[in-house]
Amino acid sequence: MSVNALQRSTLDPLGAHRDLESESGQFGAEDNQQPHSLDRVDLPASLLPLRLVLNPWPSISRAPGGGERANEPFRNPTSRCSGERPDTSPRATTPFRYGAQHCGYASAHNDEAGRTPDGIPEGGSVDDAEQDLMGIDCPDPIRAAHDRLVAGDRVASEELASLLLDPLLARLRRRWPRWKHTDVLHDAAVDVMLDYLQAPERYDPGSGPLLRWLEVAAHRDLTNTYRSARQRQAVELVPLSAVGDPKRAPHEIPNGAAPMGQARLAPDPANAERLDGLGAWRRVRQACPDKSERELIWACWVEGERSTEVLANILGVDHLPVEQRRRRVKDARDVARRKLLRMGLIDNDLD
Amino acid sequence: MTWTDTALLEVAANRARSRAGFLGYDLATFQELTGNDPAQWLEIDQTRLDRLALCRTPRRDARFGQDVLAISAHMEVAPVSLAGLLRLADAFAEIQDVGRSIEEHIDHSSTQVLAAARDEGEDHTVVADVVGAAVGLPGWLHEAVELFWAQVPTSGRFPRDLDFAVLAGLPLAVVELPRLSLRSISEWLGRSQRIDLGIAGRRDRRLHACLVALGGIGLIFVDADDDATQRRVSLAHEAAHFIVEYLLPRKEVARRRPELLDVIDGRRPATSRERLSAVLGDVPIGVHTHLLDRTDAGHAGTDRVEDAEWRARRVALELLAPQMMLLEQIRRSKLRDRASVRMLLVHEFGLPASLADDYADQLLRLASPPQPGLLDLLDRHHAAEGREDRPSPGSADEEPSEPDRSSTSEPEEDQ
Repeated sequence: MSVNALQRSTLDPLGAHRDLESESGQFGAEDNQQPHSLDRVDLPASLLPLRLVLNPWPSISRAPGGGERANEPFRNPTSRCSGERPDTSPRATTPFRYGAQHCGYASAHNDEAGRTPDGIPEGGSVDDAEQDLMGIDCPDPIRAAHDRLVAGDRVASEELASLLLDPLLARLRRRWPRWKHTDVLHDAAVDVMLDYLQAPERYDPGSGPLLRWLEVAAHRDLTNTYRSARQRQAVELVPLSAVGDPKRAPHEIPNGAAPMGQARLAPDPANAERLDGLGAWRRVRQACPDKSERELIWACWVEGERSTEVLANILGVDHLPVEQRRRRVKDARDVARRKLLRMGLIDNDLD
Repeated sequence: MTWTDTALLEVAANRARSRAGFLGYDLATFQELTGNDPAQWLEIDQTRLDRLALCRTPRRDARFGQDVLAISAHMEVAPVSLAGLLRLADAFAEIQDVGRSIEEHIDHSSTQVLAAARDEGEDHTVVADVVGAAVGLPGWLHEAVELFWAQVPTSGRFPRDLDFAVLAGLPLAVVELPRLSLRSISEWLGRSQRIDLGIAGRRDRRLHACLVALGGIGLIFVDADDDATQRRVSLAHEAAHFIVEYLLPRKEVARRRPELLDVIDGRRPATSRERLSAVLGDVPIGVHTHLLDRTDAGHAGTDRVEDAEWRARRVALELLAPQMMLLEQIRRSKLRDRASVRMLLVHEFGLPASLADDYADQLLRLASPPQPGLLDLLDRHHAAEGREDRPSPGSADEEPSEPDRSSTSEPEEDQ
């Protein structure tokens, strides 16, 4: 993989996910115009509530041990898939169908013959193309070649690579448009294909088409690559602040905040760097000009604080009677929660 | 039905070259260790080479031959070339591995190497046990021939081309060197493999072929200047050496003392206890022997060498021109003279004239009715006496005499 190409392409990495965001159907047109710097990241346990919703493959990325995996640019799907199967359920694949048909990508990348790079007719779906692919010479040449590969045929691997690499690359290009001119997508497609060819029995034909299975695995690798690139970039950045104040060092207590223990007031700078690197906190600052509100967000959704007393202290309402204090805290939490929901930083089902 | 453009396949092929299990890995090994271009070796262009790299590598077991044939048919390459490339890559890798072990553990690597040669002018004496051969092949010969054809289908066409059978059926690689001699082989091994053949001080001499085996694999050197006939015999002869002097003893060790295989392959020296137990248990721990010794007159230097060379010639003949098949053909065609049999051997079975002369003589002896022994003479004597005592022919209780029946049926059974 070309490291330079990867680094160049990650200077504005969030564009790579713009299509995915729109595919997910959770963002409006306005959101699509703004660069988002969020993807699923493997945050420490304390940061897990700040869940990102951009990845359409939740069951894959939420696998245990994801934090360690994020440091590996291209993990071998052979080992990766032992004990875990890529999610090819309708829920996981639906966003992608949305993307092909509704995000306008296909028409923007069609060739003169009116077909998308992987041969999808304009207005058609990826599934249509897959059916076309399977119906070239016989009802299912890919399945037949897969069966022969599992049975020990030595040339089936070459046949499958010839059949599937281009369509797979085309799908990845559609998913990761910012990287479509780099080696990254080539590498991901090739690695996933070779991993499969080396251990074809990992693919269960009953779980769905092979091309889609490969796409899921490649997408997961690319996601890991993306995270790693972001992390490397984040390390090089000077953290803006622990809670968003660029003039204040991460370990300093915010103005107006009462001391609440070293752990809360001096959160792990690495976490702050990661958030800054992802641009998440920048968006929080934009959405929440009030510093106490940002501190509330940090305490509730980053550190997982649920104590009304502590939160009232952050908001500066700890002097009020208990009932009023509780109401003020609840109202502030609800407002902040709605903002985070609108930004797509948390899920509905959480919190 | 190819959807993928060549550029992407090239990326995949390059990646496959670093992954064991793909043919690309073998191609890369071959190129790295031998310095040869696989595309030139296989006589294909780069695009087909890339596609070939994406095939799974042939399984290194009894299915090696069929895997090579399947890949060759799919990619339109010569099976012999592909099998030769793979065997060379394997052999070079194995020899280098063993070479490193030898350098670490053992001072004289030549003691771990089986080396045997087919000298020029050694095509004589093939069938010594005439009586035994008349009733079938000796057990050791039968076992060796069976082992050779175990993993490849027996060729029914003659002259037999053993190139693919040798490469597919045995872990042997073939190296062609011009003006083959002891010195050229020794220099080649020392230069490319850092293996000392241990022939320093010996008289150099021209060879048709030579076998060097170690670590479970073998290299057959053949004279690049030889014609197809000589090359055919050379391959059969050296493959026979490999089977009789290397594989079969190794098989015996693997069966009785598998822990000694590392010693035999030169990966570690034998402990004193292992040496003692091998001697007491009659395990052939010293199968790796030099069989290169010759006298100034060109004869085998020792009985051991003479015996090994005789066995190799015998197996080679059985591979190229099976004795029982020939005897059947001689009887069926009623060939009686040496010239006819010689012509059959040369033209139909592709043997060199020097070898055909000797073999023809012995086949005629085997095909002729056996000379009567002492028991046969006694039987005839008793039969003659019995006839004198019997009633005249045509009586009701007449029965065929026992000796007469045996004298006509026994040669048939022998055949």
